[in-house]
Amino acid sequence: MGLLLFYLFIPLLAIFAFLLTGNSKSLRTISFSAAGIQLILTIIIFILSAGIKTGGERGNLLLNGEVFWSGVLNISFAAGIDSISWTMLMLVSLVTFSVLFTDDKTRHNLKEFYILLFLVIFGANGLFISAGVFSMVVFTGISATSLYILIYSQNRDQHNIWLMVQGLTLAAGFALLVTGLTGLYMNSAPDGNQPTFNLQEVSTYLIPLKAQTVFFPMVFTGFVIVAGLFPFNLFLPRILEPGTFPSTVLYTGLLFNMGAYGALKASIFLMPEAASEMSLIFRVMAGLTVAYYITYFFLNKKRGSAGACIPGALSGMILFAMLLMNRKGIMVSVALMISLGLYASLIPQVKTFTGFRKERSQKLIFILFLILVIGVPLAAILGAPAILDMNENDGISTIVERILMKEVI
Amino acid sequence: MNINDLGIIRHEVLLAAVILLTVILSIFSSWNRLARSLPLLLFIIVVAAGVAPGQEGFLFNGNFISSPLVKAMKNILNAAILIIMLQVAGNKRESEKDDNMIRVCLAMFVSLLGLYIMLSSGSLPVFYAGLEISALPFLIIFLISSRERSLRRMTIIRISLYTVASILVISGILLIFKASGSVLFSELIKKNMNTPDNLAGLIIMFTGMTIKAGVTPFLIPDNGFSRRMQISLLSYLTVVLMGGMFFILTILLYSVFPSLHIFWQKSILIISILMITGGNILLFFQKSIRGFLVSSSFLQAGYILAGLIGANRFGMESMIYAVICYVFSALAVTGVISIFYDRTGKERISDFKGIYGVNPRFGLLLGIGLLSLAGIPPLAGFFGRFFLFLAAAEQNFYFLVLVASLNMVFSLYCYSRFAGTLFRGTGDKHEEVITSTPSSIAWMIICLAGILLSGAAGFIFDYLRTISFGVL
Repeated sequence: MGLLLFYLFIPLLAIFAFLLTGNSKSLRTISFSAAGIQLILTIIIFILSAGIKTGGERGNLLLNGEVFWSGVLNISFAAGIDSISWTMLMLVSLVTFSVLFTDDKTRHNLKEFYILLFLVIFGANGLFISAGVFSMVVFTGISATSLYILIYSQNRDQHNIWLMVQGLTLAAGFALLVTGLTGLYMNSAPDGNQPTFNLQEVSTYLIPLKAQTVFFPMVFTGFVIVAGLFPFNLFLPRILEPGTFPSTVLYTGLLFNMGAYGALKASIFLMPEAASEMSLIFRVMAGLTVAYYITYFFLNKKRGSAGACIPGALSGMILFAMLLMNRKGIMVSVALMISLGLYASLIPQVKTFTGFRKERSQKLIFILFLILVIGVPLAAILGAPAILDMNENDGISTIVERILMKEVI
Repeated sequence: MNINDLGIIRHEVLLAAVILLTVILSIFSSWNRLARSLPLLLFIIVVAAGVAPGQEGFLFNGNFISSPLVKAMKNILNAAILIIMLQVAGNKRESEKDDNMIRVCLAMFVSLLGLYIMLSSGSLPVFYAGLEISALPFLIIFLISSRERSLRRMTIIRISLYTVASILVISGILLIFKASGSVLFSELIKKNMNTPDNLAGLIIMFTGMTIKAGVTPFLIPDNGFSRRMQISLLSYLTVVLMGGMFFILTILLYSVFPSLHIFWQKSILIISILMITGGNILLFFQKSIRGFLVSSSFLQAGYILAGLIGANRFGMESMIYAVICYVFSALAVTGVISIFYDRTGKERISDFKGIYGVNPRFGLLLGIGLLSLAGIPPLAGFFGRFFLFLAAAEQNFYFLVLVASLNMVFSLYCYSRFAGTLFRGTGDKHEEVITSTPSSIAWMIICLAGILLSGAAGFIFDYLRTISFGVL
């Protein structure tokens, strides 16, 4: 676990260093160093976990451990990784580099920008290494709030009413998450046992169906609303259009994935019966989200609308695939999460590479889109064990087994 | 009582001594800089003595009780007062320089002494004496403000309400005494309180207590009286007095009226929902800073009340924890507002537009404090509120949790509207750059650390478990 804690220390140290300096060159040096160290750490962790697996260890989470927050309430900060979280951590590194490579000249309040950026990264890292629902919510909160403030501060039109609406949806998402969390905690163990937020501990017990039916929609929609995934983010293009590249990359490449990851691990994984029963309703909503973004994209040819519409449609597809509630569905959804992260990270680089010339960049973006949206999920289905599912007890397999658990019971 | 028993009553004795010394200082010494800091230095001794390990037990035939729980509550209030005093010490306005410190300190010390007595009371008459002492400074302020013609009508209403409240509390106590034959808490807890007379006594007593401690000072959030009141005193009312009243309410309900828990749980459910919703509505319409602070405290009181509904040990500890989180968040907000009011006379929310651009440290702290009050993770306010909800959910009050959570959306709008103002634009070009004094740096660090670290300090919760108790 000690190694995983570096994912929290690195951004925090970077923030501390930002506070001590004011010049833009130092800010960039610190941020690139922090991002580089984080990338190296992710590679080291991959090698270590592969080594552990080769050694024959089978378990849900590797490098796991916990630090108790409160012993009497059995609330702890539990950490551990599986192949999905490792992949997401890799995406965080890529997204960070992508943001850092974009031009600083378009930004104002540079110091605040870097502090907020590393707070977003801190929250994202925290979520992906968390093995407890409570800490997952707290880290999502840190990341989402910092990102919303970053978008607000970097937005050219600060009187944009949609920014306020977006802020309110964040609060609405938290309201649902908080209520859902209380219910999840209270029903997380059989009568007489100490309730817990620990994912592994909760997953050894099937929460009563009545409680699942009430709290699954709250936790699921809570995560997706906080991340602005669906169905309340229909105004997303209006927020991101006047924004800057970093806002778009972080929002679509990171926050979307955080919401989807949280929804998968904290709601579908822990409450599979209710998820299965309600999947149709949510699939319809996800499908409508995809349709909305495609329509918006074709009706609005404004500059920047594609930056929000394509990831928006992808986010709907991620949820749709996830809610199919079978192995292939979950696999495709994780693959699409990777596609989304890569797409969001690469677009600014493609635009910079083509010198912002519309025709050239459009062609490249189209090819990239095809490779990522069709190629990665296809590869995931065809070569899943090699790409995503590194052994039979890891990542997706654990979630799928849990989803199918109700049939066994 | 012998000399060794002084350890049990040390909070009260030391504070009374500090009050006496402060009065003497104000009369006999020329009010120079050193003398102005003396109340602060003396109070630090009270705080240190309060934290130090000492005796606990009963005094005066059970009329006075000191327990680890009561001691912890007093220490929390002391910490809050200390922060307010640091804030007052940082004020530099020439017109208020001379007697501001002593006036504010005396009012707070006397009221705090009343809170101490209420917290340690072992019988209803002692509790009543504490209640009167804690409200006394505000009665004096009402009387002073009655000299102004424009405030006379409102002052008369307030003094009448104050008197009615006293009568109600006494009537309630008498009714309980008549029904149960005792006023000692240790005896009342053994009796069956579930009778109509006791119930009526409880309702009348709590109505009086609420009017005296809550309604009278805040009758109308933004009237002449609160405009005249210094922000530091408003901080005391909205943070210390409110927190103290919650502690007292918990002790009374849990240790004197546990047999009536079904009744008071239902009452708390209704009152909490009304306060949260009403507080949000009030907050939405506020344009002045003082109105905002009062409405915000009303809203937060509704949330804190939700913790008591559990009627169990978890409920008590989550309530105390929420008060700790609230103290840091609210005092960060009132502190920044008070320093700006002191230096620039800013009184309206719109006056704070763009202050981050000119005074980034103060702007940032105010923004963080507001977001914490709104309950955004990972700030203290989120943790405080979450455990209150958990305590309510443990007793299946999910409806309250849902209503309170949904209200969070609305309150976030109100708080973030204010917070957004701080960062919007670059501020007035003629805006004064506020210089920090050592005392302002001290309270800013304390509040910021409290807001950022309370959430991580789970050991506080574990400690509170060892001193808390419950009905169910």
